Amino acid sequence: MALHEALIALQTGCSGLLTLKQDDPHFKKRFPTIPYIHQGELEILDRLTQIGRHYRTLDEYVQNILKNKTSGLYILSFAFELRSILQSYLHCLSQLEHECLQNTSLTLSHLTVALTDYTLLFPALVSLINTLQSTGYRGCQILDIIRRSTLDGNTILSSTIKKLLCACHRILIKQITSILTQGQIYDEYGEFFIGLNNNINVEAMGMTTPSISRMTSTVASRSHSPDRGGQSVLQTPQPNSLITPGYSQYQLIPEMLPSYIPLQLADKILFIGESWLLLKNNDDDDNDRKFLLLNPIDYDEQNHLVQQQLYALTLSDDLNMFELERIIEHARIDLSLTLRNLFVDRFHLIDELEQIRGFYLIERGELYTLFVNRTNQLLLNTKKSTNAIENDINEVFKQCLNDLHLETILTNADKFKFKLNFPHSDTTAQEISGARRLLSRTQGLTDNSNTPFDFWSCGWANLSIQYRVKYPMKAFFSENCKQRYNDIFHLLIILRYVQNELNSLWLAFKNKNKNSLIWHLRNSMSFFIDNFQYYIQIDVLEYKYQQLIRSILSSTDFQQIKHLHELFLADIQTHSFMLLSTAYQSIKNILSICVSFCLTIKQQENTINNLDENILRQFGKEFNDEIRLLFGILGMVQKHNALPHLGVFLTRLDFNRFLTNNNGSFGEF
Amino acid sequence: MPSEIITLQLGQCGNQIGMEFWKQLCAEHGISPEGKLEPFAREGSDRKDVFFYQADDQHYIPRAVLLDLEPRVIDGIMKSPYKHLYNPENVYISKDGGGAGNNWAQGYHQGDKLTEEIFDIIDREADNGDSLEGFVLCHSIAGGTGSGMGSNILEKLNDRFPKKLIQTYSVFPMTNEVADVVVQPYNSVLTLKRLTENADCTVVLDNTALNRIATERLKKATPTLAELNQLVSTIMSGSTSTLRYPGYMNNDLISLISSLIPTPRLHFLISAYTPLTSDNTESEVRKTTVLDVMRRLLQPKNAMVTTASRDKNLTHCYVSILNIIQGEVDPSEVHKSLMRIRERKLAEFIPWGPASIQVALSKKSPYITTQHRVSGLMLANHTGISSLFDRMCDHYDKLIKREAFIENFRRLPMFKDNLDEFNDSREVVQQLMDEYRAATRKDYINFGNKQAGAQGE
Repeated sequence: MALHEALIALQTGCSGLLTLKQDDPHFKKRFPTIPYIHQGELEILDRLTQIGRHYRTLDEYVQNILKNKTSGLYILSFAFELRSILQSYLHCLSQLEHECLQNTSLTLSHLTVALTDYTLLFPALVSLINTLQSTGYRGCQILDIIRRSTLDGNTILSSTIKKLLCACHRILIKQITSILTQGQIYDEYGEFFIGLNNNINVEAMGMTTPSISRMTSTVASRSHSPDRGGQSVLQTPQPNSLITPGYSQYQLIPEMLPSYIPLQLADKILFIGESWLLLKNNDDDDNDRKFLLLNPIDYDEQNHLVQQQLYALTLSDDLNMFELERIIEHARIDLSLTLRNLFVDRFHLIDELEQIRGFYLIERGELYTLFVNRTNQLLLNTKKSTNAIENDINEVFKQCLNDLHLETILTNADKFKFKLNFPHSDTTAQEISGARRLLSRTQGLTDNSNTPFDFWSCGWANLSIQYRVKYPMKAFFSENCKQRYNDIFHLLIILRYVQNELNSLWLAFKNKNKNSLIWHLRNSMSFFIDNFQYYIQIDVLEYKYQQLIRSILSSTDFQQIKHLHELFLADIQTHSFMLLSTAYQSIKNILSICVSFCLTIKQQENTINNLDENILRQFGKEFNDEIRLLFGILGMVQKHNALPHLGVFLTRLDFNRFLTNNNGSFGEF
Repeated sequence: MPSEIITLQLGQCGNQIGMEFWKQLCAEHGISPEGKLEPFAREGSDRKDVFFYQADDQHYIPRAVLLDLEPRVIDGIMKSPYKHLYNPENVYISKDGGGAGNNWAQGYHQGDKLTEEIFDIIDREADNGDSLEGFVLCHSIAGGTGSGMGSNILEKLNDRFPKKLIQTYSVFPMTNEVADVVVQPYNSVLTLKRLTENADCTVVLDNTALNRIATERLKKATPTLAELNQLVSTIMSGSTSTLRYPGYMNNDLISLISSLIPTPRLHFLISAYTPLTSDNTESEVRKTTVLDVMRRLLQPKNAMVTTASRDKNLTHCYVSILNIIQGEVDPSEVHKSLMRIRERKLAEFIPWGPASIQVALSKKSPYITTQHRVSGLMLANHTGISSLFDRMCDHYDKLIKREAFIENFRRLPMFKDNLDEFNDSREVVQQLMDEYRAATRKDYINFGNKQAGAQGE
């Protein structure tokens, strides 16, 4: 009798001996005593009932999952595996039943002994699915939770849960295989840690830009992912099961990334996926169809190998991370080489960089000298951006190219367009103040009715180049890169403008040598500008550029090339002090003092002999103050040896130790 | 075709060095003596349009004006393979053909008479480009035409084109031995006044130094005129190489000049070039490094001007230096060289302001093979140049004291009544020397002010 009851209880979680309240989870409420059953047996019966109860919970969970198809592949696979565990439990029960029928003298204890494993296992499983249900985790996120449960001293427990984990890993490996061999994401429910980047602002592929910042942000978001991460993923269900985007890009979804998969590995997978996108897209273009023939790797065979190796991984209980990393790294190296060859040999990456050097980095000095000469007044008087003005500027530039017969050298002129990006008011107010102060004073003194002019709001200070990257190059030049190029261009073009102004002052005064203070001041300013320009353009830019080209040519790894390019840009920015805000501010102040000086003197050209010497002295003083400040800052930086190239600049500025001997000043004005 | 430069070649010497200059430019740009672009030079990234323009049939014509008062040298050019290179309308020989007789006053006077015809040519040539940057004038200051007519043209150029640059390559006569032209001290001082007041930049080429360099460097006992002229053309083509092979910087004449000349009067530049080879001597190929080149450029024996490093209790110094380095150069080499030069104190600089060795990197012509990886040209503003003027003035003073050979000058209108022009010129040269000497002192910055004040009173 008791045995029968027990067997029923093991399957259903309740027995005729128990009365339960429907809503009460504690099913201990049974008849306190049943006359013909020993108290001890009752206890055993209770335990068995509890196993049965757990079984019910698990079974209901499995049924639910199987019925409801929206919970995702990982959970589904988990459920399947769980079901097979439950089935083995049922199998075990039917064996017991068989035994009981044959041998009626068996005791309840026999059942308990036979089911010892499950008494341990089921509570753990129940708590696992409770965690899963309560957190609402899905996809790759559940991997972490399951894995945590495998870390248990009990071998039976840990090996069973490992089986569950293994089932989930099969899905993971399949998804990885899909992206590794075809670049497709097989991910109906948005469970993979790589997803489509719906953002229009497309980042370049592969190892992402400031890899450090990206990593930290990943870590940060991962740490507080529980609710937010889950929700955001849930809100973006993927409409298609097989995602082959036209040319969109993949992105890492950090909150989906299991903690035991290193970020670098995920990045590599991401890179491979994006590489495939690129190659496939490329395949669609007829003219480049044959690129695959170019390179020595047989992709079908390669893919087959990868598939096999990855499949082998799923056969063992433990996911062999080392092996996975090895396979992925191997695939990455092959693809990276292909891409490198593709970009360098077929897409002419070096030529593209040459073009960029020509436009952004002002390699053809004569072009920009001419351009600055021709748009000098136009841009100076431009205060806001209009299409007409932008068109004019672009026309002038085209004309300059034409006049210098540079069309054959800078062939991509149509990809580069000048833009005027004026900031909305107030954003630059602070940096402007210095220049405004200067000019309003001089204007006040010379009663000029012009409104106070400030350099940082004129066209010169807000000129940028829009670079329309064509399809394959997009993978190399990210928005971030373009912004950096523009930041560098910003400085270079202003330098050139100021230099041009100082030179035209030289011309204007060459036959009027009366006021030598103007000459000395002009000379000092020119000295600073010339040396700064030389430092940036030759010591930093040209040097780094040559390095970059050399390493691109010698590298076999596309990802590395990209990384080097990012480094190149970062290096230039650091060495031109853009990231050293105090020094950069000081340089900007110097530039605007120089401009004010030139404009003021030019206005007074005809009455220059009456020019108040105090104005000049004031210019001299402000200029000197800024130089002293800058020299001081740079001296400090140099002491800490933070910028290896800084010494070059300081040597130039202070070649005859005039600055050192004069306390960082350029003379007495 | 912006920032064109028109070359004016005056007199015997001017035309000879001009001729060499154009030969060199043609070779560097792959232009044949007839002005045709050689087939191998079709795809260059060089700029030919600064010094050449293209005729309707696409052949290249130098922006050059050839002027002389006697036909000998220009006739020689017109018989050379380069006879079709020049625009025949730009070749002007005075009709009477008698030359200036090595007399400055004669040259000046003739220049005055021919002004209209000469400036017809110059104006036409100036209108030919769309933004003329300046003029380059080559001449000698010792003879009659280059110095006298040159002076006249300088005055008028400056008057007509006040905003254009006027650069001269002026050959200064030998001062250390008996002159072949007895009145050359007169001619020189009179010309020097115009160079001071009307030119924006004068590259001084001292015949004494040229001879010395030719003898020492090229291992020639008696260098020929052609070899000396080649030295000059090397300097001329080298100093314009950043204009013709543009890189990041120094792409116009003004940027070259403005960085060298801090105040308008201190515009007399010395130059040096290394390594030097001549056509017929196979020089031993040695290793050229940037440091090596820059060091050699600073050695006085390589300078195309003989200057004294000390005189009258003052130490002369560099006001500014521009090194144009040609060839395959790693930018970091430049810096290392600068550091080394600074450590070793190889160059003494002015005490009144910041100064350094500016470096311009320039490409080499792909059509000329040289044995050297790197070559360098120095243009420098050195106060020691005043010692050259000093020597000239010594000779002048000795002559003028006796009023020797003065009759030839008195015959011309300018000196008919008095010799004020002589005294005036001598005074200007004196002021120039004073200013250069002042530039060696710390208080130079106030030099101009005192002058201005003195003039005001």
